[in-house]
Amino acid sequence: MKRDKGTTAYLRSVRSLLDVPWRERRRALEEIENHLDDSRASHVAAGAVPDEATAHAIAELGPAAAVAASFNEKTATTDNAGAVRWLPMLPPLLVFVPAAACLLYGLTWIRADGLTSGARVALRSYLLGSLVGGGLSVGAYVSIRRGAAHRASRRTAWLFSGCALLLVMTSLVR
Amino acid sequence: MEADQLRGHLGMLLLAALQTGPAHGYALGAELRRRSDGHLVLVEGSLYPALHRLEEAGMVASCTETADGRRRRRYELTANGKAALTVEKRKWQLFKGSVDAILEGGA
Repeated sequence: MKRDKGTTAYLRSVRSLLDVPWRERRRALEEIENHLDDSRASHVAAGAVPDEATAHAIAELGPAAAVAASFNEKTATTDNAGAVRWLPMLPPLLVFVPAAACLLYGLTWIRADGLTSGARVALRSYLLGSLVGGGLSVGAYVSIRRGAAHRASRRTAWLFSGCALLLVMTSLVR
Repeated sequence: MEADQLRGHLGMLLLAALQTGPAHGYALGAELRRRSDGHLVLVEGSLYPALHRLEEAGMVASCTETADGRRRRRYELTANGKAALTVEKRKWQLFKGSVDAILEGGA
């Protein structure tokens, strides 16, 4: 069935504001389009001209932002369950905690006569690990907190997690 | 009835509308308007997230069918949905009775 301009513009607005998995997005847009078609047909049968019928159908459905928000809200409440949302924190903490622990322990090597060059190299790498692990942990934490409202932030948390995991695997291989 | 007042009750109303038989989203909205004599101000865009929630909770089931070259999704009440509707109707009667009693000053 050929779509009219009003329907196309409305669906485009809703699509741009939807923040849900692709399957839900496809289903939501399909149902909204079918709803608009049925509603328009009903208004045309009641005597409205096609453009007016489309406008009435869109008005009854509600503003694109409100419709998208109701889908996003529904997904956010089902996605954000309990402890699972904190899973992306695990790999960054796996980098940060051992590095920070080794750094703290390594600081005890500092004696009156100073550090050996080997100890300096080790401390530098623990410091780097702590900074990188700490940065990734903070990034993952902030993304998870923001992820309650924004799906893109939840993806960012997993990105931080992936970087940390890569770091862990690289250091294990070395 | 304002759209805000419907919040929290839309699920129950959709289950009640589905009692007469399976229906598409638009038909459900039309049925709610018809039963309420047009007093229900429904933002029709909120129908679908509510239906999806009900489906996730196992109270309705949906299936897609093709008609006139278009894929449409039809919803129907499940046994869980019927049981849930009975419970919700009872809760609503209790709530309505309490509110009526307060508004009438306990008379």
